[in-house]
Amino acid sequence: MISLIRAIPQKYMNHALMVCVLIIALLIGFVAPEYFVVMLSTAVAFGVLAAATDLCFGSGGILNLGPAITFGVGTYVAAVFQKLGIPYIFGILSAAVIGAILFAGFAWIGLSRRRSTIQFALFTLVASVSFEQIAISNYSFLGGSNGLANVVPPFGLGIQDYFFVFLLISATLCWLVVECESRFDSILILQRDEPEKAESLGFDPKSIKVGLMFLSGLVGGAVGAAFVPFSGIAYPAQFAAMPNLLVLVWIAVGGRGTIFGPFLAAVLLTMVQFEIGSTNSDVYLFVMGMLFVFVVAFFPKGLLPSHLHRRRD
Amino acid sequence: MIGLQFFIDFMVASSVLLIAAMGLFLVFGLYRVVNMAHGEFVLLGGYVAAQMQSTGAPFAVCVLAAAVVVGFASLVLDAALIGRQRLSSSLTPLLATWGVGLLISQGIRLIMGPTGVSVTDPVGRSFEFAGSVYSVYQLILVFIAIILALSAWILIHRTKIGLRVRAQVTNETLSELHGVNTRLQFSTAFFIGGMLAGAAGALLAPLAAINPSSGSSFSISSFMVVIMGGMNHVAGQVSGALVMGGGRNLIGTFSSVTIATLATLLIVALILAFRGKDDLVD
Repeated sequence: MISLIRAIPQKYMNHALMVCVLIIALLIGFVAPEYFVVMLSTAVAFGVLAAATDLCFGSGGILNLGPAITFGVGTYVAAVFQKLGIPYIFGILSAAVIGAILFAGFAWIGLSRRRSTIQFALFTLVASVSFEQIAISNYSFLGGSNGLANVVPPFGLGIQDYFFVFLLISATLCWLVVECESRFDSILILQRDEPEKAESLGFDPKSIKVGLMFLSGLVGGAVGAAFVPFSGIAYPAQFAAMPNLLVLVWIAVGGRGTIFGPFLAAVLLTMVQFEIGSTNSDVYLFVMGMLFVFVVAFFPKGLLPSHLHRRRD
Repeated sequence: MIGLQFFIDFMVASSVLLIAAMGLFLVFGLYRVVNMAHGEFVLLGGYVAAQMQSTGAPFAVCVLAAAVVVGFASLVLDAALIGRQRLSSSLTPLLATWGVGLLISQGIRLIMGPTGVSVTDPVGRSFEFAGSVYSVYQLILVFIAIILALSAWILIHRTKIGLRVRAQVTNETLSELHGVNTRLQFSTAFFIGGMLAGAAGALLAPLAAINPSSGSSFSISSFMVVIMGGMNHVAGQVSGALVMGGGRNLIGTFSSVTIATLATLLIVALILAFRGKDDLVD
């Protein structure tokens, strides 16, 4: 088993690992009861979101305190499109485009050529609060604090059949993220750690960051839109502090920069959250907060075993 | 008179912002340590004051208790998370304090419930002037803000202690060579910052009910005041508070909460685009 893992070239490690997880999910999807499929789809959706955010944060060095914004926007876009009777595929595509433009816009406004961690973090924080506010206050179109409910899978599919469509979409999005990361690996690390050197070599760190956020927003929006039929509802609390913190917890626990680490952490921790149950969500959030602080302070490389880590700085 | 009413509202709003932001000024403006838990510190101060008041303590004692509790919390935070990391990484304190901030607000939510508390106005009187009614407590807050700003200015820019702090902030190694105990100084500053935040929470609590989610708005406003004012000088804080207080009042009178929030986002964006870059390069 270990030798099989070692045989995979470093470059494709992340691809391989994600394919494995998605195949496992596929197999489970054949046999599992509906509630389990919903749980698994939530886990995979968040995994994809975590991977996309890690692309920005770990490889790109962009601290985004509102990573769940495009996910939430995606769910709303899909819900609205379905309410208006537009075919679902357009919902997903639009969510992807809107998410991409949104995050790219944030990056373009909030980032400067050199390091600019703090003000961008604040900006994204304000943005997430604003989005929650917008979602709550608009009743006619966005459903106000109740959100938009009754989202059903498209094409008349049942939950379990739609699961395979969803996995296909997730796999594509994962591939996008991992491919971007592996192909542009050295450039990303360079512009993250030594932007001056990158600039002198002809790369513009800001454009690269905007591009990363574009991709991250695209993936976040698309996966949110693809995911919402499982939960059935798009609601304002998706923009609140909790989902955003959770994404960062997954990245911290999984090891930032590894892409697969956050993906796995998201999948596992989401399943744990489901097991603990929604009645304990406040306690769960508290525990997650403690875990986050603990990991950030004492385990900056994350908790997952190091042979999953790629060679990093 | 509309003008006078607006002016007094504007002064009150600015004073509120200044009082809340002063603690952050010490920590973030001077030391550039991003304490994302600042808003939750203020929140905690408010809750402590509410608890103390329900036991019948006089208001001044409530404020003092709030300051002490939050000061203690910031000592713990410093010892556990920030002290070691302050110089090596600007990201770790940011993330760690963000986590701690959420812990505090979640903890408050779990212990005290999500509905929030309120603190009664200790003065409770209002007076009429030129056809409008003004609350005495709000005017007292304006005075407190003025005194706070003056004391901070004198302390930081006109005393030897302040000189040492400014030296440390400018060039840590060199100031150490001159005999400044940097570790102690930072911890003291952080402690004072925490006390100020707690006191601010207690002082501001009578104005509006607070709930576990209020922390983030305190954080955002305080950060904006500090950043907008240019980080290093007390006068900057005052001007930042004035600008934000005036702006928010102006927007608030004409529109709804949604627009006000969006406008805040826009203002933050503009500030970042045109100003923040230079001051916050790390």
